[in-house]
Amino acid sequence: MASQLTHQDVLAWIRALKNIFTESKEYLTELDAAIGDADHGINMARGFSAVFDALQEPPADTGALFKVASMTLIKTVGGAAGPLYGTFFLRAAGPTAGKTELDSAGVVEFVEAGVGGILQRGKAERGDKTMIDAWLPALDAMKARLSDGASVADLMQHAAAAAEDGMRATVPLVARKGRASYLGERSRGHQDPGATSSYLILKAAAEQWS
Amino acid sequence: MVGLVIVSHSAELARSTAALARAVSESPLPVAHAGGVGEDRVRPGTDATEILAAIEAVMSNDGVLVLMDLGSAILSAETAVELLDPGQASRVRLCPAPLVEGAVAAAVQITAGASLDRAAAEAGTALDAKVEQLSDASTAADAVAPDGQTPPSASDVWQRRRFVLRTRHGLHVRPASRFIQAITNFDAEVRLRNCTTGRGPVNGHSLSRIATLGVLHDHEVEVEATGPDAARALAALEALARADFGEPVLQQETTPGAQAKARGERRAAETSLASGEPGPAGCIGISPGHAVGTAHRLEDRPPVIPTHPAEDPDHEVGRLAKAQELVSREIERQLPALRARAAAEAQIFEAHLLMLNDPDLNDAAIKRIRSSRLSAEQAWWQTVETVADDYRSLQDPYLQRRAADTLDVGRRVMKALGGGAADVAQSIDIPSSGETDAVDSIIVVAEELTPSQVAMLPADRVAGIVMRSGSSSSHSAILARALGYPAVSEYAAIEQIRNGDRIAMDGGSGEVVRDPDDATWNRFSSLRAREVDLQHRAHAAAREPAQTADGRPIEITANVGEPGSAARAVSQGAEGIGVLRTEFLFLDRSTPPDEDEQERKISSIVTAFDGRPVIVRTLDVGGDKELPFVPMQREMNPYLGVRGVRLYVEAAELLQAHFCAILRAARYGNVSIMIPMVTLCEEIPLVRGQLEAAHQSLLDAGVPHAWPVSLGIMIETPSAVFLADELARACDFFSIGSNDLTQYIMAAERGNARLTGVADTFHPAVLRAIAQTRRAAAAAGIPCSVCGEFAGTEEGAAALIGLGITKLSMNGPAIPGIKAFIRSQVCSDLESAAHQALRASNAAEARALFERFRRSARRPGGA
Repeated sequence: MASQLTHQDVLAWIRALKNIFTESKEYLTELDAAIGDADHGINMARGFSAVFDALQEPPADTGALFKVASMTLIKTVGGAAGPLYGTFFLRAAGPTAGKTELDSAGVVEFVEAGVGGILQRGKAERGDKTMIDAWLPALDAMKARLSDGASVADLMQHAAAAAEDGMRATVPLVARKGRASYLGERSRGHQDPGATSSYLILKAAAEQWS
Repeated sequence: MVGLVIVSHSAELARSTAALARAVSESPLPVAHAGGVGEDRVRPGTDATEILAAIEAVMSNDGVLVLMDLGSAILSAETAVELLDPGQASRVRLCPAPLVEGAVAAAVQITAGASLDRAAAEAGTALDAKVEQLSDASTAADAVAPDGQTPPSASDVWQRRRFVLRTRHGLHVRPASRFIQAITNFDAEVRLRNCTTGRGPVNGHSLSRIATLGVLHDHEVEVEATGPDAARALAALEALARADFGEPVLQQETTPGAQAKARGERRAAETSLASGEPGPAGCIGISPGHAVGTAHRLEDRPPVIPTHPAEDPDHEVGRLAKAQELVSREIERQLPALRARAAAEAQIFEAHLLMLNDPDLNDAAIKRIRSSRLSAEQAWWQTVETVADDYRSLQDPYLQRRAADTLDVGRRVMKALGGGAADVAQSIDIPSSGETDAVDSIIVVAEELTPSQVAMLPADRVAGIVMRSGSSSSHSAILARALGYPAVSEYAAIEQIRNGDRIAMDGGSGEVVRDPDDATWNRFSSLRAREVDLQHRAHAAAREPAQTADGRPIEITANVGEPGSAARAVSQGAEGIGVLRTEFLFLDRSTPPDEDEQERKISSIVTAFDGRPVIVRTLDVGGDKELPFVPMQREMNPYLGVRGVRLYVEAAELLQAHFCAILRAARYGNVSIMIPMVTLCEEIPLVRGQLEAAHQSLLDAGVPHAWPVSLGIMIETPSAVFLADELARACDFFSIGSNDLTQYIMAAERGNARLTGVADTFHPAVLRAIAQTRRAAAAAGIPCSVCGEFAGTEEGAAALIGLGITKLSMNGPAIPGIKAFIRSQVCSDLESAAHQALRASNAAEARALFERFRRSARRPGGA
């Protein structure tokens, strides 16, 4: 792909998430059944299907697109994932407002803004066994590649790989936030569903923008 | 007012919690709720955009308090704040209080006028009271030593006072908030305990803590204070207690004189007024009066609930709606007759109508039908029982009473669902006098009659009521008293009474004699005859016109605020309506009433007065009264803001329908129109122009109405007093609103205990304003009446008559007493007292000049 990420590329990524979460619905639900309330897969599939529908007539710029995604997720997801991913896209809409093309720095900028939102909203830290455990390593990897002058495609490959590592690393952790934290020690040995869905989002970007 | 938002994962919980918060509020609470996700909100979860909308719906300059349940509700609430514009976001407080306790505590604080900080703080500690109450149930009892005098602290620095609560509902929300307001500016720590129950002490600055004391009417409380201002705080509280916490007392007790007189008359009429005291057999009298008759058992049949699941939810929803409709129509059909017999108490059934149309109740029932596949009967009854349980679980007896009402309405709908008997009233199976040979009247014997059963008893047949349970404050007892049925409750052995047994009873003492000897029967019977005779005579005297002993006629009219009191005012002796407050048409609803509805309601009142003069005051909102459909700006001082006629230009469309409705209703009687809150001369031509426009539009549409109609104004501002000469030339009559006139002239709010002696109509400043207004009216040849509460007190009426006022308007219950008072007075004495009062140096001195008339008043007809 070209060095610049177009508005169409972003749209393709967000739209692709509908199928990705529909396909992984069972898997996420299974993960969530172990330590949560078994609704994460359903919630994510419902949320991104609604986002897909809401984008039938896509807004003209990336910021507006993220805003639509944000509001739709907030309205339809339900569990904690709604306000968390909703806040991600709401904050991501800031630096991308009015833009139809993004360079590598622009991508890092919106991901950083979005992750900042998740951190602030969820008040989780690294190692709490949450989606933050996927996002923070991904963001670090992106920043590291950016200083080497990497392309968007390269950034996202590394981001997805780091998120995957982070996701797997949640398995031995004891949950300290959200519903899973009620389980205490018993949450150990299970992969965090939120970290998993976050990884899937980043992986989709890597695939779409390769 | 601070707005309240309730957020829960469950839409139903959010809605019900909001409803509970509303239910505990004394005044309309700005509350909104958000819960559930998806279009129908049935999935558990929270939606930040819905929370956002809820916050915006109740947002004002005072801010919004948000209470939420747990987990993602918190994240969503925070997200909602992020979505708000920053100016508003700074006025939103997310509060970590427990949802239900917090909502109730916050509602109480908010409607008491608390700031956002205060409401949040109180909600935050809402759980403390419960924790304490559950953990120290035994400690509380221990706190009462055998003599009941144990002070909570032995320390000498605490100063104490005791007083007995005379307010009707004890230390209820409003008096409790006045309690807190009274001490709030003193540097003193105040504690309060309920000596009667031994609860406390609790922090006297906390509304929710005071609520835990459960202080009821007649309870004795002890306040103790420490700190530099302790003595002053206690003095303020004592003054407040002496003023009964500024509580509007029970309507029948509006004037001390009328109250005393009525008491005297009742005492003469009834051998006992010991209502509520245990009778010989542990029974209590709940509605005074004697009765004799034969027993007729009314069996309590529980509602039939078919257990089969619903085949077709749509069909069940339809059946439920139809049954509710049937009951609504039936209540509507019965209301006019009931209003004629007991106007104020008929409101109980107006509340029943509201319950039938309560969207929350109906949504809950429909949801049960759809989601749990229940039959209409199962769904409705479960819903009704849940709501009734909710009410029963509340401490407040006021709210507990609603449980009985809910079940009553619920059962009527169940009966209608049962098909067959289209007329639910048939459930009272007492033969009317035409259908039976029985000569004796009937004493109804039952477990506990519901309000609707009492209302539907055939008055020509029923002499009295004996029940196994039911308190004297139940709506059934209230209705029995209003409809004149003597009633006894707590009669344990009702199963021993058989149909046809002869019974003599005394609803005052609670005495019930089964199978009385002839002497007893005759004694009870003649006591009853005497009671009835006295009642008739008292009513007849009330209907006679009043004139002073030296022959000056005084016209006595009623202040009427809703249709119920209108019907009643006629029988209380009102010669017309001095002020019909039309706000009842508009308050407590989210959309404005249309012209037809207004016309219907006003004309029902006009008709009840049968040609006697009715002065309709046009809409007077603003100040403390707000309408959701009239956009009003927040004002620093609403009483000095856009209020009364000042709103008429902005809300011209609403007023057009209002004026049209009044003109249409005017053709049914003798109607005048009166403008509230006039301060400027040009306000009269403005309203005249609006009235003419209404007249023209009715003319164009060919709608029958009265025209022309005389137009008068309220004199309730200092400006109107100073402009009285000019105003009198521009309108047809004056009516002095003494409450507002006093408040505005003295620049002092009523009910503020610290302003006693300032906010007093007896102040010569106010008396002079009244005299000046009357002179201006007389010079222009127009009538001038007074319609504030002042006119309904004996000393107030004396002062007004002395000042030359010949038309007084007051609350209906005060009329018989004031008429009797006037008949005992000599006009020239009152005039010379008024002459002195105008030169008195303060309110107390002026008042004393008239109190002597009150004390010396002869009260004919009392015995």
